[in-house]
Amino acid sequence: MQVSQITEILNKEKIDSDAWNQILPIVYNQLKSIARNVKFGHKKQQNLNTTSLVHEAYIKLQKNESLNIEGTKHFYRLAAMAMRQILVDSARSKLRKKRSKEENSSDEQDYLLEINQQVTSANEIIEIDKALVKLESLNPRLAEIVTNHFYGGYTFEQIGDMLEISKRTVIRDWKKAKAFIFSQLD
Amino acid sequence: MNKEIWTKIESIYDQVIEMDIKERVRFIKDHADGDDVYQQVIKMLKSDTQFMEEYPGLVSNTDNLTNHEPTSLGHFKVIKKVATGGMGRVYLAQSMHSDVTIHVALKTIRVELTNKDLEQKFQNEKQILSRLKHKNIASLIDAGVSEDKIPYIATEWVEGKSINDYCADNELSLNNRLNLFKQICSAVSFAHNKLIIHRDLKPDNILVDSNAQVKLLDFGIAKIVDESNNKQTQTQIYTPDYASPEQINGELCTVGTDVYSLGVVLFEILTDSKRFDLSGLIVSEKIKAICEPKVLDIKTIGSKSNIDNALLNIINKAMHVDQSRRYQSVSLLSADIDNYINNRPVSAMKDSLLYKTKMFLLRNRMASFLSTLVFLAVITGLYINNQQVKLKLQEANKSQVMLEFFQDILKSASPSQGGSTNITVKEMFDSGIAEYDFIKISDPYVQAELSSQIGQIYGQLGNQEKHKEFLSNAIKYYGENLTTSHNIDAYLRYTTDIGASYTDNLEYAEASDYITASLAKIKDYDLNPVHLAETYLELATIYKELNEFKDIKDKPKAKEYLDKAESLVEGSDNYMVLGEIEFFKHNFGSVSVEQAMQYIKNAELLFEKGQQGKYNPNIESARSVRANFLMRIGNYQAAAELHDVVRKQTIETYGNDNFIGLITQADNLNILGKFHKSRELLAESLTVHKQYNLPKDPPYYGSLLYTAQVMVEFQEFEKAEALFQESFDFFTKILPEDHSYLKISNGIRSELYLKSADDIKLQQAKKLLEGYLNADIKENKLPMYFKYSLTIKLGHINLYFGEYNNAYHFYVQAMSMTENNSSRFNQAKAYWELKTGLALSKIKNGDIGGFEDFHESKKQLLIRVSNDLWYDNFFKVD
Repeated sequence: MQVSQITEILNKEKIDSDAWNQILPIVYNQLKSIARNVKFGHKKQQNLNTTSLVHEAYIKLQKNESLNIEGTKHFYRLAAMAMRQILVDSARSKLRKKRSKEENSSDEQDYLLEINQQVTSANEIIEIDKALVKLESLNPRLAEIVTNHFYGGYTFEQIGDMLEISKRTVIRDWKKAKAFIFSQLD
Repeated sequence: MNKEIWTKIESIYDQVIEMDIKERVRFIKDHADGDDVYQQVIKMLKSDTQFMEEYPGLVSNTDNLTNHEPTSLGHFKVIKKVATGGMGRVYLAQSMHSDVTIHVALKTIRVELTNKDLEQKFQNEKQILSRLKHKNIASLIDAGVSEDKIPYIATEWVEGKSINDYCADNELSLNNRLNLFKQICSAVSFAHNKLIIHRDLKPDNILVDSNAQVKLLDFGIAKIVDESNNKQTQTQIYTPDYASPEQINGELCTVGTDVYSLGVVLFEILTDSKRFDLSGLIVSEKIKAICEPKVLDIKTIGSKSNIDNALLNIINKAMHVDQSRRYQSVSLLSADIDNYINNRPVSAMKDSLLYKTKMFLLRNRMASFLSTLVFLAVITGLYINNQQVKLKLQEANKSQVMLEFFQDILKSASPSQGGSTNITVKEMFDSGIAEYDFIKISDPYVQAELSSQIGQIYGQLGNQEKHKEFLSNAIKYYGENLTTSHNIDAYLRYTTDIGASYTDNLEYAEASDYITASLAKIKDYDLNPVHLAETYLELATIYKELNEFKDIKDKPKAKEYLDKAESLVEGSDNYMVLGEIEFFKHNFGSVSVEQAMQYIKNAELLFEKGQQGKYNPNIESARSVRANFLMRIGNYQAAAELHDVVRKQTIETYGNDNFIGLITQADNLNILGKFHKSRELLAESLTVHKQYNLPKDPPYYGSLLYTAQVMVEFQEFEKAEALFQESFDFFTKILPEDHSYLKISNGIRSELYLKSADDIKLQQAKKLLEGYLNADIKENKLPMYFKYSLTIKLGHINLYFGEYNNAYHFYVQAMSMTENNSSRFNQAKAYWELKTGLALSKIKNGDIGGFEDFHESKKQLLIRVSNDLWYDNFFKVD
């Protein structure tokens, strides 16, 4: 898919789930490759974190095509979802390799896991994700706030902006969602 | 866990999280139906560390916390508990005495009335409070002490939301929020007049009912609690987030205490956020946060909130740590809110010129639009000018106020400040504000300096009249005071500017007279060579234009001034002026198109070199002239590409609404056959023109011509004809009779008659166009691209009238022009019109072999025109 097609989809006011699923893997791969570049490329000294990663992907996309306000919001939401997927996939693959006792193979997983500075244990990431999947079915908005804050690294203010709710509500929801997730971890 | 159960969990959780920790377990027990709901809420609360610290091992040992709940107090029957606050609990209750069910809010107060004195005091307060009748205050119904010695107060039951939730949930506008706040003020002010201070104003005590009526709760109750408690516990009663420094310090509460809390409330309802986030702070830190607050500034709040500088000043004044610096009464605070709502200067705001100006503008509802184009140009200009003003003013040590004023404008105009009360420089100048306030300056030097700045801004805003007026004011002073090199140089520079202003109005003779006379006046002074070169360049331009428009053979003079200019700056590193000189050279008739383009390219390089990272519009204008040259020689593709570069740069710099940018692009699209898009852009350009009040100048009338041309393609002949006429009238007024532009205009117009099948007018047009071509054989003055399109048009017209032989003749002639220009002509729609016409005229002349050519060409043509109706019908073999 061309960049212009991606932006065209993102710039729509409403995105149906088909289109959404179509671009998710693209953003997923883009974030991954930027992360790889940051880690192993020239920019080694740069700090690797979610926000900078997502931001860089945004700039890349914005370079050629312009995202409108809607598009930007959609992009950030999408990027957080992709980040979540990346982390979960890396955690899974790390655990799998650990189980099969492969040596020296988890380099990539490690650096991807590093991106999220809050949680580094692969186990924890998977547990959190399980709780989050559950929460999604109970209250999708809470789950989305967690995805955006925890995986996207966005501030409550930004999230309020994206989801068009007040910052106060975001904070309240975040606390509640966090409480739920903790209640699921044992 | 399914969704249904979750909803219950969420609802209980949402309620208990707002409660006092001690009350939570009880509440959960009472409301959780089912163990899984209970367990889940408890589990979720466990993540609340505060909760855990307070009650370790809570989950296993909940029963200890059971609390005694009264079933009745005095003559009130308790229905249910609704909240627990710092002072006590609140119940929904109902009077057992009354026949009608009257719901009341029943508050128990967490004090023990240990002696008769206190009980008497309580009764006194009750008397006072019962007199407090105001539509925005929940009225006191009764107060007393229960058999268990629990004091209670019964007030009107208010069904509503706390003001902050109400504002946030309904996404109220700024004005609505302010009006609610005024209701609060009116209630508090009323109470103050009765010598009652609230002491605990906070959003939770300010409810808004479904009629958007504000109701204040708990008036004066804090005092009762206050006086019946010993000093040590006092501070715990207040919600620290809203308590004034004097309350925190245990000092006397005054009217100012309520003013302070109102300031906090105002902040919170306007920003949907907390003024103080005291959670997690220890007591000493809380005290510090409240008693030594930093004055809020707009940067820390962020541009997203409703708050601008004026409101912020109101809040800061209300919340001043020093009571004597706050509003001295709530009515004064309310009056300032009124001022704000009505766009009058608020008293809290510094009495700055800028602020008054802004308010003046808003009050008069002046120019509520923003011209990105002009806006940015002005900002850049202002910035540079401002730096200059700064230096000069320092030099003269004068009028610091003026300097600040300009800086303030700059700040308010900065995009990052965006907000409803921010104005643009354009708005400011459109309103005539420049004269309104600055010109009352007594120092003639400062006045001249400012006049010239203002004049230049007007120039950038496209207001030539004001531009000239202000510059003339300034130059008068400099002319009379040719005492410093600064004044002499200013005189020279503004001479050029004023000259240019005449030029822009097409008043060439006036321009030349003005500059020459002015130059004579300062000829004996030592002049800045760069500025003098610019003056000469202006003269060269004037003579060039004189030659072009009024047909005065004065090109040698243009050349003479150009040489003068060049000799002044030659070899210097003043790339901007050098670029302009180089650019100018393309104007001379002796220069071939290729050479002209080379000059322009050179100029572009020089501009780039001189640009030094800053954006320079000269590059864009040079590029766009070069693109027009490319178009003129038929290299449409390259022209389109270059136009595109220019367009992108222009959009980047000025935003998407540059008038000239839009029409240039539209014309280009038209040539490429993309009528729909072209029309769209033209419509946009006219909107932009109207929106920004741009002058009706040659580009404007040019755009009318383009618009008419595109309308013809959509068969809107009447509208097109009106526009043609309007445009043509303008140009006949300012151009000599045989100027090529008028011919071009008539050439384009002939399409209207052809496409609307207006035989009579078409015959006239045919004669006219043939006349042009014949005259050109002698003088060879028509631009080639025009000769080419004219010839094709004559082919079409002859085809239309059935004069196939003539048609064929014209088509062949046009075709020969494309051969001279090799591939240049073959991109555009006109080329395929020509090929189709040629093939068709061959067939009509009896050459049957032209069929294949015809079909192929017609196919190519129809691909290239976005509205093919006419083309399909016109080129038809019967």
